[in-house]
Amino acid sequence: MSEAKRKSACITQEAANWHALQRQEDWSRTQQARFMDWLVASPEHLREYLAISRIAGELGETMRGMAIDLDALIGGDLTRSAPDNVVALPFARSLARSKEPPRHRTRLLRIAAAAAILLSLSVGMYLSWPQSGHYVAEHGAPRTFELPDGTVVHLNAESALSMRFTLLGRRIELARGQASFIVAHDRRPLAVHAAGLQIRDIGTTFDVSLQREQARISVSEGRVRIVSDSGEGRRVADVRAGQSAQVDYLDHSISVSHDDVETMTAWWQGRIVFRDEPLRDVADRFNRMNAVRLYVQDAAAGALRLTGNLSAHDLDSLRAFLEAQPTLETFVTEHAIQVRTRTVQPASTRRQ
Amino acid sequence: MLHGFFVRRGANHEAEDLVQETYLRLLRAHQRQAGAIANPEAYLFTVALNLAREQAVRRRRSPLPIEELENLTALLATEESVEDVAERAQRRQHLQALLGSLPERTRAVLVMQYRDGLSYKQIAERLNISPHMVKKHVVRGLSVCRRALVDAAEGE
Repeated sequence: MSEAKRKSACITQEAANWHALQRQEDWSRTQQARFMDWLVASPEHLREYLAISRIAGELGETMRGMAIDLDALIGGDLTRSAPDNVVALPFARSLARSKEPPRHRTRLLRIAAAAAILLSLSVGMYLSWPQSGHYVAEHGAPRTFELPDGTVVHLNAESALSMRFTLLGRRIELARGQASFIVAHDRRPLAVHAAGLQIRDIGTTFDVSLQREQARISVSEGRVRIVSDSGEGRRVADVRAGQSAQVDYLDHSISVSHDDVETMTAWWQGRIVFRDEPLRDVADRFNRMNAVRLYVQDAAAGALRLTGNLSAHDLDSLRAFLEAQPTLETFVTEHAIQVRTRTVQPASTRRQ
Repeated sequence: MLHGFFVRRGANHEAEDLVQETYLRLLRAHQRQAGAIANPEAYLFTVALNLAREQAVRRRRSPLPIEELENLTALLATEESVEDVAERAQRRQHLQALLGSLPERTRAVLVMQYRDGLSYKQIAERLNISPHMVKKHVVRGLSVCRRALVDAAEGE
């Protein structure tokens, strides 16, 4: 190995080491100062650091496009400590990305040609904060976990979210279902994207639930701002602690109601609490949790608004609760509870 | 490897200028306010990105209309559009092959770190090793990939 090559390999090693140190949790001010000293010691250092950052970013991208069986990599004996319902899905994000007309793009590309080179390095910057992940909670198995910034997420059953934390922001996307966020304080803003909405927040606890016709955003602590995720980011509403906003998917029309915090967080403890909610949404919530499904047979029954507080797994109580509603009747079939609008009462009872 | 990349792009000088200029700005900031930069990495990336943007704008003789400037910024913000797609695909393939050549443990660490965004502590717990060892795997994985890409470019 030539002398020059040995030296350059040595700088690579140092750059990788600094890069890895940055991501250590107990990274001190003194270390930051030493890192700065190293960085400005030579342009070679800086160039190498950028190159390493770029590779780090590209590794994340590359691995996201590969099917990697992490459990197999780690080996069977260690997997028991892992949550069994974390499914890492490869997601392809390259295809649908750019919608610029091709001609316009080409011209801009030319303009950006030189910038591209350094930029492709500094792209490493966005990607090198390689905190991204995809989380899925299966049917009947809600879960709670912590994101790298300390934000705690309660993910309801049959729900999925992905996160991507960069240098400049924390972005979470709720693909389906329901999740509560106890947001850790961080200088980077956090935004949850769901159903064409953006819920922005700094240091609060809130819940986002994608229901059939609307998104429901409930704040149990602090305050969030909801903006439209398209175009100029029109503000939809500000929601404070103790409030729930229901935003229509189609026109983003909104209604804000007061809700107590216990209602909002009840599902973390496996309770289903509903205040003046349509039966079809209540049914969805039960069905996330149980193998026995609740089927609502007609639209009138589905639209019936109910208030109650039940254990998510206690189907007997659920059935009793539904039977107690004067306009509903239920019957049990295999693996299902059917509920429908009560048919006309028998003539004999009527006459009395 | 970077050299090869630049030559193919025919923009060697500009790129080198950008690295040098970034370096000088960082150095100046460092001398002016030593120790005051709380997060050198974030600072470095901000400087580099700003310079790249400035240069992109400067290369146009006439001032850009505002609307186009916004487009440009948007364009610069997405890595897809600024980088040659073929180049990217090639690098990605190379990285895939390199990943396969790494020891399983190192590979597992890289997956958890860069794909899943787990902290060293979380990775350490999962693998039953110390966070220090996790960091070592990260350093090794990155170094191997970087050196292999350098060698590949020099061999061309």
